[in-house]
Amino acid sequence: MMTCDDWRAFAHDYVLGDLSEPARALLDAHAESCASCLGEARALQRVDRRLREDPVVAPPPDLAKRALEGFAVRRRSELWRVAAALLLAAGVGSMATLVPEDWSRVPGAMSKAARLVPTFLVESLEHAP
Amino acid sequence: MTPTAEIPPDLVRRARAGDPASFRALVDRLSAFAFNIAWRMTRHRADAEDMSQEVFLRLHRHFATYDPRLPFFPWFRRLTSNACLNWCRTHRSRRPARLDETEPAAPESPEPSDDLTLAVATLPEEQRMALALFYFEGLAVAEISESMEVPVGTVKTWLYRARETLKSRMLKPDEAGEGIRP
Repeated sequence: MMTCDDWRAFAHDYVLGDLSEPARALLDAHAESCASCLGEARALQRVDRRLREDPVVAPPPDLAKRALEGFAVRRRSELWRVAAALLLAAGVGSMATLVPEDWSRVPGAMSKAARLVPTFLVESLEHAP
Repeated sequence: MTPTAEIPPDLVRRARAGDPASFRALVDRLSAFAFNIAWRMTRHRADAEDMSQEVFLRLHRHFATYDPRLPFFPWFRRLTSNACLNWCRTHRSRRPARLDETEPAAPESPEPSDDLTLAVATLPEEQRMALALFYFEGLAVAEISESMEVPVGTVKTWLYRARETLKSRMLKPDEAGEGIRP
Protein backbone atom coordinates (compact mmCIF):
# COMPACT_ATOMS: atom_id res chain seq x y z
CA MET A 1 0.00 0.00 0.00
CA MET A 2 1.56 3.29 -1.10
CA THR A 3 1.74 6.05 1.50
CA CYS A 4 1.85 9.83 0.89
CA ASP A 5 5.55 9.82 1.85
CA ASP A 6 6.22 7.11 -0.77
CA TRP A 7 4.29 9.10 -3.33
CA ARG A 8 6.09 12.34 -2.58
CA ALA A 9 9.49 10.75 -2.85
CA PHE A 10 8.73 10.27 -6.57
CA ALA A 11 6.59 13.37 -7.16
CA HIS A 12 9.13 15.24 -9.32
CA ASP A 13 9.92 12.19 -11.44
CA TYR A 14 6.18 11.59 -11.75
CA VAL A 15 5.55 15.11 -13.03
CA LEU A 16 8.52 14.99 -15.39
CA GLY A 17 7.37 11.63 -16.79
CA ASP A 18 10.60 9.93 -15.72
CA LEU A 19 8.97 6.81 -14.25
CA SER A 20 8.41 3.37 -15.73
CA GLU A 21 4.82 2.57 -16.67
CA PRO A 22 4.18 0.23 -13.67
CA ALA A 23 5.57 2.82 -11.22
CA ARG A 24 3.51 5.54 -12.81
CA ALA A 25 0.36 3.40 -12.52
CA LEU A 26 1.01 2.96 -8.79
CA LEU A 27 1.41 6.70 -8.28
CA ASP A 28 -1.68 7.42 -10.40
CA ALA A 29 -3.72 5.05 -8.25
CA HIS A 30 -2.57 6.77 -5.05
CA ALA A 31 -3.20 10.29 -6.42
CA GLU A 32 -6.76 9.33 -7.42
CA SER A 33 -7.59 8.54 -3.83
CA CYS A 34 -5.51 11.28 -2.12
CA ALA A 35 -6.50 14.91 -2.59
CA SER A 36 -3.31 16.17 -0.95
CA CYS A 37 -0.96 14.31 -3.30
CA LEU A 38 -3.13 15.16 -6.28
CA GLY A 39 -2.86 18.85 -5.32
CA GLU A 40 0.88 18.48 -5.03
CA ALA A 41 1.11 16.91 -8.49
CA ARG A 42 -0.98 19.69 -10.03
CA ALA A 43 1.11 22.40 -8.36
CA LEU A 44 4.34 20.87 -9.64
CA GLN A 45 2.83 20.44 -13.10
CA ARG A 46 1.96 24.15 -13.19
CA VAL A 47 5.54 25.12 -12.33
CA ASP A 48 6.95 22.66 -14.84
CA ARG A 49 4.63 23.98 -17.58
CA ARG A 50 5.56 27.61 -16.84
CA LEU A 51 9.25 26.78 -17.12
CA ARG A 52 8.74 24.92 -20.39
CA GLU A 53 6.71 27.79 -21.80
CA ASP A 54 9.30 30.42 -20.83
CA PRO A 55 9.81 32.05 -24.23
CA VAL A 56 13.00 32.14 -26.22
CA VAL A 57 14.32 35.71 -26.19
CA ALA A 58 15.76 37.33 -29.29
CA PRO A 59 19.30 38.60 -28.70
CA PRO A 60 20.10 42.16 -29.77
CA PRO A 61 20.72 41.99 -33.55
CA ASP A 62 24.18 43.54 -33.20
CA LEU A 63 25.30 41.47 -30.20
CA ALA A 64 28.24 39.90 -32.07
CA LYS A 65 29.40 43.28 -33.42
CA ARG A 66 29.17 44.88 -29.97
CA ALA A 67 30.95 41.94 -28.32
CA LEU A 68 33.85 42.26 -30.77
CA GLU A 69 33.98 46.04 -30.31
CA GLY A 70 34.00 45.38 -26.57
CA PHE A 71 37.15 43.27 -26.96
CA ALA A 72 38.93 46.16 -28.66
CA VAL A 73 37.89 48.62 -25.95
CA ARG A 74 38.98 46.25 -23.19
CA ARG A 75 42.28 45.59 -24.94
CA ARG A 76 42.95 49.36 -25.26
CA SER A 77 41.95 49.88 -21.65
CA GLU A 78 44.30 47.10 -20.52
CA LEU A 79 47.14 48.64 -22.56
CA TRP A 80 46.42 52.00 -20.94
CA ARG A 81 46.65 50.46 -17.50
CA VAL A 82 49.98 48.84 -18.32
CA ALA A 83 51.27 52.11 -19.77
CA ALA A 84 50.04 54.03 -16.72
CA ALA A 85 51.71 51.59 -14.35
CA LEU A 86 54.99 51.92 -16.27
CA LEU A 87 54.70 55.72 -16.25
CA LEU A 88 54.03 55.72 -12.52
CA ALA A 89 57.05 53.56 -11.85
CA ALA A 90 59.21 55.76 -14.09
CA GLY A 91 57.78 58.95 -12.52
CA VAL A 92 58.42 57.88 -8.97
CA GLY A 93 61.94 56.82 -9.91
CA SER A 94 62.64 60.16 -11.59
CA MET A 95 61.23 62.17 -8.70
CA ALA A 96 63.58 60.48 -6.32
CA THR A 97 66.59 61.52 -8.40
CA LEU A 98 65.47 64.85 -9.92
CA VAL A 99 63.81 66.67 -7.02
CA PRO A 100 66.23 69.34 -5.79
CA GLU A 101 67.49 68.74 -2.33
CA ASP A 102 66.28 72.16 -1.11
CA TRP A 103 62.73 71.61 -2.37
CA SER A 104 62.38 68.47 -0.31
CA ARG A 105 62.88 70.66 2.76
CA VAL A 106 59.84 72.86 1.91
CA PRO A 107 57.04 71.69 4.27
CA GLY A 108 54.38 69.69 2.40
CA ALA A 109 56.02 69.97 -1.04
CA MET A 110 56.88 66.31 -1.35
CA SER A 111 53.48 65.09 -0.17
CA LYS A 112 51.74 67.44 -2.65
CA ALA A 113 53.92 66.16 -5.47
CA ALA A 114 53.27 62.58 -4.41
CA ARG A 115 49.52 63.21 -4.55
CA LEU A 116 49.72 64.76 -8.02
CA VAL A 117 51.02 61.62 -9.70
CA PRO A 118 48.17 59.29 -8.72
CA THR A 119 45.60 62.06 -9.40
CA PHE A 120 46.98 62.50 -12.90
CA LEU A 121 46.92 58.73 -13.45
CA VAL A 122 43.36 58.32 -12.21
CA GLU A 123 42.18 61.14 -14.49
CA SER A 124 44.06 59.61 -17.41
CA LEU A 125 42.47 56.21 -16.81
CA GLU A 126 39.00 57.71 -16.49
CA HIS A 127 39.41 59.34 -19.88
CA ALA A 128 41.03 56.30 -21.42
CA PRO A 129 39.15 54.91 -24.44
CA MET B 1 18.00 25.13 -29.31
CA THR B 2 21.51 23.71 -29.53
CA PRO B 3 22.95 24.95 -32.81
CA THR B 4 25.60 22.20 -32.92
CA ALA B 5 24.45 20.87 -36.26
CA GLU B 6 24.56 24.34 -37.75
CA ILE B 7 28.17 25.04 -36.78
CA PRO B 8 30.54 23.75 -39.44
CA PRO B 9 33.70 22.29 -37.87
CA ASP B 10 35.66 24.23 -40.48
CA LEU B 11 34.32 27.50 -39.13
CA VAL B 12 35.37 26.51 -35.60
CA ARG B 13 38.82 25.54 -36.85
CA ARG B 14 39.33 28.86 -38.69
CA ALA B 15 38.00 30.90 -35.77
CA ARG B 16 40.29 29.04 -33.39
CA ALA B 17 43.23 29.69 -35.70
CA GLY B 18 42.60 33.43 -35.31
CA ASP B 19 40.69 34.38 -38.44
CA PRO B 20 38.64 37.44 -37.36
CA ALA B 21 35.84 36.97 -39.94
CA SER B 22 35.34 33.35 -38.88
CA PHE B 23 35.35 34.30 -35.22
CA ARG B 24 32.71 36.94 -35.92
CA ALA B 25 30.60 34.42 -37.86
CA LEU B 26 30.92 31.90 -35.02
CA VAL B 27 29.88 34.47 -32.40
CA ASP B 28 26.89 35.31 -34.59
CA ARG B 29 25.79 31.66 -34.59
CA LEU B 30 26.31 31.26 -30.84
CA SER B 31 24.76 34.53 -29.73
CA ALA B 32 21.16 33.26 -29.44
CA PHE B 33 22.25 30.39 -27.18
CA ALA B 34 24.55 32.55 -25.01
CA PHE B 35 22.02 35.37 -24.74
CA ASN B 36 19.15 33.08 -23.75
CA ILE B 37 21.19 31.37 -21.05
CA ALA B 38 22.29 34.82 -19.83
CA TRP B 39 18.70 36.07 -19.92
CA ARG B 40 17.55 33.13 -17.80
CA MET B 41 20.31 33.89 -15.31
CA THR B 42 19.67 37.64 -15.04
CA ARG B 43 16.13 38.33 -16.38
CA HIS B 44 17.51 41.71 -17.40
CA ARG B 45 18.38 42.60 -21.00
CA ALA B 46 21.35 44.88 -20.36
CA ASP B 47 22.86 42.43 -17.85
CA ALA B 48 22.22 39.51 -20.21
CA GLU B 49 24.04 41.40 -22.96
CA ASP B 50 26.96 42.15 -20.66
CA MET B 51 27.08 38.50 -19.57
CA SER B 52 26.99 37.31 -23.20
CA GLN B 53 29.90 39.60 -24.04
CA GLU B 54 31.81 38.08 -21.13
CA VAL B 55 31.12 34.62 -22.60
CA PHE B 56 32.56 35.64 -25.97
CA LEU B 57 35.52 37.39 -24.40
CA ARG B 58 36.26 34.16 -22.55
CA LEU B 59 35.85 32.18 -25.78
CA HIS B 60 38.35 34.50 -27.46
CA ARG B 61 40.86 34.17 -24.63
CA HIS B 62 40.53 30.43 -24.08
CA PHE B 63 39.94 29.19 -27.61
CA ALA B 64 43.42 27.67 -27.72
CA THR B 65 42.47 25.31 -24.86
CA TYR B 66 39.71 23.74 -26.98
CA ASP B 67 40.75 20.37 -28.38
CA PRO B 68 39.45 20.33 -31.98
CA ARG B 69 39.21 16.52 -31.98
CA LEU B 70 36.28 16.82 -29.56
CA PRO B 71 32.81 18.25 -30.30
CA PHE B 72 32.84 22.02 -30.00
CA PHE B 73 29.41 22.76 -28.56
CA PRO B 74 29.64 20.85 -25.23
CA TRP B 75 32.96 22.63 -24.65
CA PHE B 76 31.35 25.99 -25.41
CA ARG B 77 28.37 25.17 -23.18
CA ARG B 78 30.73 24.46 -20.28
CA LEU B 79 32.57 27.70 -20.95
CA THR B 80 29.24 29.57 -21.04
CA SER B 81 28.12 28.02 -17.78
CA ASN B 82 31.38 28.95 -16.03
CA ALA B 83 31.42 32.48 -17.46
CA CYS B 84 27.79 33.15 -16.46
CA LEU B 85 28.24 31.82 -12.93
CA ASN B 86 31.41 33.89 -12.51
CA TRP B 87 29.61 36.96 -13.80
CA CYS B 88 26.84 36.43 -11.22
CA ARG B 89 29.34 35.99 -8.39
CA THR B 90 31.25 39.13 -9.38
CA HIS B 91 28.15 41.26 -9.75
CA ARG B 92 26.32 39.87 -6.73
CA SER B 93 28.67 41.71 -4.43
CA ARG B 94 28.22 44.94 -6.36
CA ARG B 95 24.46 45.23 -6.15
CA PRO B 96 21.49 43.60 -4.44
CA ALA B 97 19.23 41.16 -6.29
CA ARG B 98 16.45 43.04 -8.01
CA LEU B 99 13.14 41.65 -6.95
CA ASP B 100 11.05 44.65 -7.87
CA GLU B 101 12.93 46.07 -10.83
CA THR B 102 12.73 44.30 -14.14
CA GLU B 103 13.71 46.17 -17.23
CA PRO B 104 11.04 46.08 -19.93
CA ALA B 105 11.90 43.73 -22.74
CA ALA B 106 12.84 45.18 -26.09
CA PRO B 107 9.92 45.37 -28.52
CA GLU B 108 11.16 42.43 -30.59
CA SER B 109 11.34 40.18 -27.54
CA PRO B 110 8.55 38.32 -25.80
CA GLU B 111 7.31 39.90 -22.59
CA PRO B 112 8.63 37.94 -19.61
CA SER B 113 6.06 36.49 -17.26
CA ASP B 114 6.41 38.53 -14.08
CA ASP B 115 5.78 35.93 -11.39
CA LEU B 116 8.30 33.56 -13.00
CA THR B 117 10.84 36.40 -13.39
CA LEU B 118 10.51 37.42 -9.76
CA ALA B 119 10.54 33.88 -8.43
CA VAL B 120 13.57 32.83 -10.49
CA ALA B 121 15.45 35.93 -9.30
CA THR B 122 15.35 34.57 -5.75
CA LEU B 123 17.08 31.29 -6.66
CA PRO B 124 20.82 30.74 -6.17
CA GLU B 125 22.74 31.10 -9.45
CA GLU B 126 23.60 27.38 -9.67
CA GLN B 127 19.90 26.50 -9.52
CA ARG B 128 19.11 29.12 -12.19
CA MET B 129 21.79 27.67 -14.45
CA ALA B 130 20.55 24.10 -13.91
CA LEU B 131 17.00 25.21 -14.76
CA ALA B 132 18.20 27.05 -17.88
CA LEU B 133 20.10 24.02 -19.14
CA PHE B 134 17.25 21.63 -18.32
CA TYR B 135 14.28 23.62 -19.59
CA PHE B 136 15.73 25.90 -22.25
CA GLU B 137 18.52 23.73 -23.59
CA GLY B 138 16.63 20.49 -22.93
CA LEU B 139 19.66 18.72 -21.47
CA ALA B 140 19.44 15.53 -19.43
CA VAL B 141 20.66 15.66 -15.84
CA ALA B 142 23.87 13.80 -16.79
CA GLU B 143 24.64 16.38 -19.49
CA ILE B 144 24.03 19.26 -17.06
CA SER B 145 26.35 17.56 -14.61
CA GLU B 146 29.03 17.49 -17.30
CA SER B 147 28.45 21.11 -18.32
CA MET B 148 28.50 22.42 -14.76
CA GLU B 149 31.24 20.03 -13.64
CA VAL B 150 29.34 18.78 -10.60
CA PRO B 151 28.00 15.32 -9.65
CA VAL B 152 24.67 14.14 -11.07
CA GLY B 153 23.19 14.05 -7.55
CA THR B 154 24.00 17.73 -7.07
CA VAL B 155 22.16 18.67 -10.27
CA LYS B 156 19.14 16.61 -9.20
CA THR B 157 19.10 18.38 -5.84
CA TRP B 158 19.39 21.82 -7.46
CA LEU B 159 16.52 21.10 -9.87
CA TYR B 160 14.40 19.66 -7.07
CA ARG B 161 14.97 22.62 -4.76
CA ALA B 162 14.45 25.12 -7.57
CA ARG B 163 11.05 23.63 -8.50
CA GLU B 164 9.98 23.51 -4.86
CA THR B 165 10.98 27.15 -4.33
CA LEU B 166 9.25 28.27 -7.51
CA LYS B 167 6.14 26.34 -6.51
CA SER B 168 5.94 28.10 -3.18
CA ARG B 169 6.66 31.53 -4.65
CA MET B 170 4.67 31.45 -7.87
CA LEU B 171 1.50 29.75 -6.76
CA LYS B 172 -1.15 30.93 -4.31
CA PRO B 173 -1.24 28.93 -1.04
CA ASP B 174 -4.29 26.95 -2.17
CA GLU B 175 -2.55 26.05 -5.46
CA ALA B 176 0.86 25.24 -4.06
CA GLY B 177 0.07 21.92 -2.38
CA GLU B 178 1.56 21.07 0.98
CA GLY B 179 5.16 20.91 -0.11
CA ILE B 180 7.59 18.07 -0.12
CA ARG B 181 10.17 17.48 2.55
CA PRO B 182 13.66 18.07 1.15
